[in-house]
Amino acid sequence: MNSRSLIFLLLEVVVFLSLHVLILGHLSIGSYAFSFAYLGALLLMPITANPVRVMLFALLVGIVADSYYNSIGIHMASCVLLAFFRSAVLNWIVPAGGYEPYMRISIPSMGIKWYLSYMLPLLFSHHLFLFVIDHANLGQFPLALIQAVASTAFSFLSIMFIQLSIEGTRM
Amino acid sequence: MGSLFQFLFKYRLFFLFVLLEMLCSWLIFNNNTNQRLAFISSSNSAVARVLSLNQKVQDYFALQVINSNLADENARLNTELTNARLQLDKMGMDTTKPLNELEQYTFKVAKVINNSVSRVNNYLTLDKGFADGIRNGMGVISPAGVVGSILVCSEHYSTATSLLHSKMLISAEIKRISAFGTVKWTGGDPTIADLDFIAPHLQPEKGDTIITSEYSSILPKDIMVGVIDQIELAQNGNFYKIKIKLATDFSTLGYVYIVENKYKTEKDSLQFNTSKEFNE
Repeated sequence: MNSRSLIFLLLEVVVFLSLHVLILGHLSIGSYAFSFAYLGALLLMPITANPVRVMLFALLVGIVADSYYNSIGIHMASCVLLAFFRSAVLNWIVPAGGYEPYMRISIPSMGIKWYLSYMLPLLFSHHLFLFVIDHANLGQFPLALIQAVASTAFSFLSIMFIQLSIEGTRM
Repeated sequence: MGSLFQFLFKYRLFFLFVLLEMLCSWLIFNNNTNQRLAFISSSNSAVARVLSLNQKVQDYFALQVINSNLADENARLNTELTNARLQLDKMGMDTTKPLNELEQYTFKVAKVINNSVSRVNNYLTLDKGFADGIRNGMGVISPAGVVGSILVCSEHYSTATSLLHSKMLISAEIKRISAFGTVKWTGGDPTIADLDFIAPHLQPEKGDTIITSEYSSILPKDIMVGVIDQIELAQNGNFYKIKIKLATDFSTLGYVYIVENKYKTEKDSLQFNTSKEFNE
């Protein structure tokens, strides 16, 4: 990882977090779909990043999100879960020949199919976990499920939109 | 030790994950009222359910002890009740007698460990014997009514002649009209017995209560025997032929009380000597 890409990564993190805090965190469609765009900072980390470091980084992102939502621990737990699943999902959808250093998590680099099968399961598992803990009531599981599905779409679109705005179509 | 570290290192991501989630859970439960309440109430209801189930199971195993305690308690209350009745009866007659001398009957509880109802002569086996103060000829009653009398005693067991025995006679009376008769079982249905020697000038009715009379030396009076089920005049016309429904269900006997009459020997020997004198 050269210094240029490190700077770019930090920039990305700052952009995702500030955009979320300033704009996207306030948006919701009904009481069902919420955008958790800050997850982009986690999801778009380099493929070859050390999973342990990703998990610790997820804890940090979770602390920031929790201080924004004033819900100590809930987003931390969900982000750590996301980081754990991330390495598993990356292993499952590894392309033939393995990951190359130039590969990045983006549609131009990996293709739309790979991108979807990476993003959607991770976003969905994170959201479902988050909503279930948030409601703290298994009787509301159907509601949590609906919210998780709707929010997955919303989060996915906002993350993809932000990513395209920053990166353009560069490989 | 080395392989342990190897194992830990191999799955370090998983262990880190579990550790961090535990930390997060701790944070969540400590800082979020909703989640803490949900956790506390669900764990409380789970614990309460386990505890109540536990109590039920323990209650079930304690039933035997409770049963025998209740039977003991009943025996004690029966003793007190019977003696109190007797004292009431006799206090008016002789005020110089100390009350404890009037305690004529004592009750001991015993468990029925063998029983039959289907033979012509039926016997019960009870789990009390000589060692518990049981003697031949004592009366046996159940909470519902008369059962029989003790026939043979061993050290720790005794056999009782059931009322369902061809040679067993119980001196009884119809409570409403104080008419004396003898209850006898003639075989067959273990819930039905005969009441003999009720003279035709009396008017027994269906449903009248039959109790033990004072003539019996083995049983206290006023012990339930049964109720009149069927009345007809016998063919020779001297007595009624009365069928009674027995109060005691002999097929389900669990605990019985053995009744000791303190004055039985005295009464029996007096009656025996009298009859001998007159027969000679």
